[in-house]
Amino acid sequence: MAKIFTPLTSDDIVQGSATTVTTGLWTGDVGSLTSSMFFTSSAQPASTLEYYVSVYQANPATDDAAEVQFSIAYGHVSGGGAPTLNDSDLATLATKATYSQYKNILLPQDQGKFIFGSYTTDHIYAMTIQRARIREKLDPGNWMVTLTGKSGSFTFIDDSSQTLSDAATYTVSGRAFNIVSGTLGTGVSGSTIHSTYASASAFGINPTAEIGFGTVYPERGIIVWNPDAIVPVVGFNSASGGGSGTVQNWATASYTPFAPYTGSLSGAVKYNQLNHLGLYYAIRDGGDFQARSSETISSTHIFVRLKNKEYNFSNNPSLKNPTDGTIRVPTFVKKPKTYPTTIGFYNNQNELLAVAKLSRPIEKSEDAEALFRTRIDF
Amino acid sequence: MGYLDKTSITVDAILTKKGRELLSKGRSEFNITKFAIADDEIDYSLYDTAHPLGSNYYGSIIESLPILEAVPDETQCMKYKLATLNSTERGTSGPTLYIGGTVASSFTFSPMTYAPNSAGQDVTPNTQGSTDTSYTMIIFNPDVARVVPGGNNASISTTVADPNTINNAIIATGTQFTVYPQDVSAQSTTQITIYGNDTGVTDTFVLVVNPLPTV
Repeated sequence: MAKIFTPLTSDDIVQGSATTVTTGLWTGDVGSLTSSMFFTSSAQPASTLEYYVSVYQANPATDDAAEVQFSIAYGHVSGGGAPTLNDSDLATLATKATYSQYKNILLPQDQGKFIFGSYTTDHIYAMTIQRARIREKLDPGNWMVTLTGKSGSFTFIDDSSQTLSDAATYTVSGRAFNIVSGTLGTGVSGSTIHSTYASASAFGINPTAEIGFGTVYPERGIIVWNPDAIVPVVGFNSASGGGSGTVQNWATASYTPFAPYTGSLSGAVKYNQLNHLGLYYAIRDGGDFQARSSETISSTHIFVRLKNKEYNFSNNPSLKNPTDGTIRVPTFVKKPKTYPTTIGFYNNQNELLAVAKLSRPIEKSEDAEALFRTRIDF
Repeated sequence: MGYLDKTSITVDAILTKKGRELLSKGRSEFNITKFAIADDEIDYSLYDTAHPLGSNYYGSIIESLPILEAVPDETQCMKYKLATLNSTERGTSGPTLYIGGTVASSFTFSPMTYAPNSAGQDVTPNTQGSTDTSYTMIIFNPDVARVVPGGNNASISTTVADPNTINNAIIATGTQFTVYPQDVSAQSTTQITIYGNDTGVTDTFVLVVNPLPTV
């Protein structure tokens, strides 16, 4: 009895195997954003720029391939750095709303402020990686960013290599790791806690205060920085405060890293100080942001076995002589050969549900059997 | 001692449009139960028994061919299926598809003209040299013709519609088929493929449908 379909048994199908796939985080699966790959868009509306700045890997004004890689926001628990309703009836309290937004999604409901080490802070920088970039999550232990300021360049990683095995912190937002100084190549230098810097006091930081640099939430793709730690260490320009007429803080800083200004605003028009741009300039000047995405792929493996006596005839018209319809190669009559290229998977209604192609034709004869291991990802 | 031949090959499969549609309805709807093998891109005339390097190289041109990636359109895959035949069925020419007593390679659909309640054209395939218990008919343009399958376990399904072209093919299974013209505004054609579900014998035909004559 002729057949073109071979039933699959339960032994042939292995369901539910999971594989973790990691790739470069940025567009095109690139692993590093380097010094010429940090751009913002002049087309970003002012209404959103008050909250965050989007960072591209190419100039969005000239390059169609430019895509948002991540965004940087600044939040302040009482709205510092942005006009209050006393300043303007149209104030949106952007920094206060931002602080609350990240607090609500990252912190337990009974925790009102971010705590880094033992230090409670009123304000944060929040870097949010685009969802399309992280796919499922940021790969912890495999990201590194360089911040550059007046004091030089400093690289930061997370401490997952220290804490994955026994001390990973599980929060309402998944795992959380401390941001520490160090590099991917050499690992952690210094520690989670800023106070271990020998020169901490030189930056005006209390060495006993255990001020953490920040926290990374891999499942969320969010890196939260503590301005009170990184500003003095990296050396951001001091805030001018937007107090000179109508000039904004970021403009007076001449597009260099600047510390957040949280004081009262002066001038006839009270401008949002766009404090998040201070961190953007430090990252841009650092010119190195390496990271990977991580994704768990569920697969079904199907083993396709072609026994030696099976699939020994092809309905391919080129097998036959066009004149008389006989098999073109006389030796194929007694010793049939075929060249499979494609495997089709069907349901009981003969509907083709999945298809796999071999990289090159495989000779199939009665002298040989073939075993194909096919993988279907979901 | 030499190296063993590598007989296990890992390949990635992609879901067809039908596969995605069924998967979207739930994992239980997506139920792979069997496989088939095809050799769509192979030209057996390239098997060269006069190759200057001898018998080991007869199939070298075929085996060197890089294969194109799979596409998700299920009507564009698995055109030429491999079959398991015994030596009698294989013979010197293998099984042959016939349509209503005419060898398929010589069969042509009669042009049809649409009319309300117009009669259909019966198509009864059979296979000589072996046996097919049922056949599959694919009508690639359902705007031109439709089909009613008959016989045991007759069924009909469509591929996933493309909202831009509305060109979702009709896939019917049965032992005989009645093809009806659709109401077309101008003379139109569609490709129709028929293949046996046991031997894989296959052929493709063209059906011409004329519009309702104007008075």
